[in-house]
Amino acid sequence: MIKNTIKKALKLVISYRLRMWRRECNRMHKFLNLPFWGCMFRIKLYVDKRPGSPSSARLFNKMSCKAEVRARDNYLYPFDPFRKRIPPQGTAPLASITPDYGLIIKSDLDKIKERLERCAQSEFRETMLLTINGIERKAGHMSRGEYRDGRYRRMALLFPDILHRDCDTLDEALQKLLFYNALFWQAGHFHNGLGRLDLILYPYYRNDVKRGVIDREKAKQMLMDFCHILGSQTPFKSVTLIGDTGQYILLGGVDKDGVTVDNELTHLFLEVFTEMRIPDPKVILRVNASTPKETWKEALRCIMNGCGSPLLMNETLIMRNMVEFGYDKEDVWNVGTSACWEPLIIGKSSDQNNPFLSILACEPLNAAIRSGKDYPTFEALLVDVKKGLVQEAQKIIKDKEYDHSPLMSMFMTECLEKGKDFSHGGSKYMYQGAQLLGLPNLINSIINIKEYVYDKRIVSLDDCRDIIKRNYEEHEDLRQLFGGNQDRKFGKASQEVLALTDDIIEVVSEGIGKVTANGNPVKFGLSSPNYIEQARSFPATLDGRKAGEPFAVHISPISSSIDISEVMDFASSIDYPANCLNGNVVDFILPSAYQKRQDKFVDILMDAFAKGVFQLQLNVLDKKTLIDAKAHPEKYPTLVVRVWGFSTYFNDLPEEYKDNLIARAETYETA
Amino acid sequence: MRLLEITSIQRGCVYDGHGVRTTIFLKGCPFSCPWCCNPETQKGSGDFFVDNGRCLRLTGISSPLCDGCERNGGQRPLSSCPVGVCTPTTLTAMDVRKLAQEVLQDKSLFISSGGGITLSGGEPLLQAKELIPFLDIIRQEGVSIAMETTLYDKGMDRVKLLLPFIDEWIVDLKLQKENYREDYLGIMRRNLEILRASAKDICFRLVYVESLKVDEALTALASLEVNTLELIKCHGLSQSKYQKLGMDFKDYTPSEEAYQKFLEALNANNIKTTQLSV
Repeated sequence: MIKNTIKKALKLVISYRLRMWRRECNRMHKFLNLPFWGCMFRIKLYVDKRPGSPSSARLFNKMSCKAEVRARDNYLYPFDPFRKRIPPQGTAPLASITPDYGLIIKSDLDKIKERLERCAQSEFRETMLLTINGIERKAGHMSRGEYRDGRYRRMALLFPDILHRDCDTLDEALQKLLFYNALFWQAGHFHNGLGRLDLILYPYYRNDVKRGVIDREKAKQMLMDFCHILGSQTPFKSVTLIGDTGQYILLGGVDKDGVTVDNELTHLFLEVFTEMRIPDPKVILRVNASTPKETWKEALRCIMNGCGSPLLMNETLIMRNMVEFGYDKEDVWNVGTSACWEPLIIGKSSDQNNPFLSILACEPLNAAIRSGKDYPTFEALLVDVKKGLVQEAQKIIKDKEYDHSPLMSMFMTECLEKGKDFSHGGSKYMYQGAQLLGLPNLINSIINIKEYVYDKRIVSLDDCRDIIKRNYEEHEDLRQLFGGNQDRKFGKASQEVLALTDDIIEVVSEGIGKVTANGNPVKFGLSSPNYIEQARSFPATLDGRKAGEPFAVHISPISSSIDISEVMDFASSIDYPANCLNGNVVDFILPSAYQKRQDKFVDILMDAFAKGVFQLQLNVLDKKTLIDAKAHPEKYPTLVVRVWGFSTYFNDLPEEYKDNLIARAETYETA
Repeated sequence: MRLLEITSIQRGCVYDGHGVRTTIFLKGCPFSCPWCCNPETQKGSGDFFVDNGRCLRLTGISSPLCDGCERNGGQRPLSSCPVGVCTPTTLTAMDVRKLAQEVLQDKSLFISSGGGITLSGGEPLLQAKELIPFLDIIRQEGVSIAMETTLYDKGMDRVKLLLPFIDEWIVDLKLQKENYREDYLGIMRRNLEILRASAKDICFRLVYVESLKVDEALTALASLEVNTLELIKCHGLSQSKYQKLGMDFKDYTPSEEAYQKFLEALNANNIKTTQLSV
């Protein structure tokens, strides 16, 4: 009996390891075009059986010490993507966190050790001390590394000393940041945000310039090198698609005193991204009423250059919702994001903002129609749809067992004070977030049913049932009818469409408000990255979408009769409930007229944000170029596009994502 | 009071005057430029865009939705097609207050960008009297008003009527041979005199087609005392509109070489010319 149980457990463990190994090999094979067999021999897995324990720390030490160090772009970067730490089966990885690099750059490992000595939680203390020991060992190895180039020798010699003091220069600060960033990746965290680099690096830059150590041009070169090295392993760092790394640099926004950060580094970073035109890392710009017009202009120049950055984030609105949701007012100044756009507090949150499958907005409507129930009135149908929506939203939210992170815990004051891991009671906030997928499809479907089934009575509920069942087979006429470009569609800022949209959002908000995940309230947003993945197996919807076709993207119209002014009006008129803050992005392809008159478009953007657009990302593509790029990838090696919340090279996208972008470009070109 | 005949309202316009503007396209025009990019303004108020690409019957889809349609020998007019084959070329009649309310939703943008409302068309002068109550409201709101016009007002009374309301005049010159009118230059000179006397902002535009000859254009421009000009290379982007309106379409897009030569010739003759590329 015991023997059998042991055998079974062993089998499970081995099969998990094999599965993980295969997954990693597949990913590298797909993203890097490496032969599968080659990947098998190169990848070394470290399965962590007891995260958060001393044995886990020893495993991490072993792995990181063996990890190769990259010396390129004038910095050292100790991330070895072929060594993978894998949390145990059933444990969700910790991802999409922005560590407090302001604190990290100033950190002194000796002081952290001193604090830990006073910690009463012995296992936590031991784990943390072992982790620090590993970091010091890694730094020791780096310092003894043999580098031919004098620059790298000098950088190596900064270690381990630099880990025991604040940095003296911008150069040191960048190197220290890169060192810890690489360790976060090595520990198995992904979607690692970089945070507010203009705010935290500025004192070093200012001092350097004041002392004559560097000038603006030299600093710019350093930032370029920094970005290049971060982007040099993009395929390894990507999760679902190449480019999806979550490496964002956050610029602008208010500081602790409520003053808008707008310094030389804000502008230098925007310049760097305008000139480099690389998809990874990415930039997010926090904007408010005090953001200078010149910064808006520079941001727009950057967008126009085609790197897909920056995403614009209306911090006034977001911080207001965060406070209403439950974050403390004194903390929200330091809002960052989880990879794409989901807000968290840098240095205080271990929020997991995207751990669930997305809520399928169209499912309750399809279910109501499929049920065969006779709904004598539209209102009766809507009542059932709303009930179903609440259930659908609540269904996907579950408690999860998360990985531990001694590394993150080390740089979070609360963790050291409480003696608890970052994800197990240590951080001040650990909210989780969900995403509502296909809201535009649902709104358009509901409007169609109201108009054609109940008002005009030219379509029956039986027809609708048949459409869903048979994927519009023999109902092409109804597909044309439902997909028509009428003015009453999602994105139109009419009272009717807005009222319905607000109503549906409110229903989801209330439904989610009644459940918790790991004991905490849950946020949700309207911008899901799963508009292709989760649409694959979803049947036809009553807005003209056939089974398997992608859902609409974020807050974007499906109709070509709705232009950017209209959709921004629409987005700014939506009433976002407090818990609806987990990414509400207007995603649009910029019309060419605005590309030529950027000065005027800046005014349009500033006005839209003043009115209440939550977040905005723009592509500057035209259909013709995209079609040509799909047919002749060799002609467009540097064509960058914005996908859900990240930028990537068009050539790196799977075909269906390319087709989706082409179709959307066509829709918006005629708007 | 007659209601305004409007074909469309376009927000966020960046080419129709200073700043960011909302442009109102009005029906009717004394000219019928064959390259007009808003040919619907030349049609009557009861006309429709007919998109045959959406017609189920024509695309070979058999549907009960088509029962009763005039194309199926029934009584239901095409304009009532549920799939939306027909779209009216005129917006639903709107009283001036409602129109003002709609365009003023961008007031903050007009103020921040130095923009405002632009009347275009068609030829807005044709609805001058009907426009007055609307312009009154806009004026009271302190929003700038521009007008894109041919300025071809034989009696001058319409220009005079609108003069107090318009801050910026965008004069679309009709010097092409396809638009030849014997009285054109005389009328234009008189009306320009009125505008110039009022010290209003005036901007001149000209669509280049290959029938425009440099010498003739220079003579006409000199006669109108035009020294600065926005030149637009004629394009065929409105082809689908012509098809939907059942109108013949001819592409007047000139060669790039001819266009550049014309542009250079104007600049060489002290007409400060900028290209307006849309």
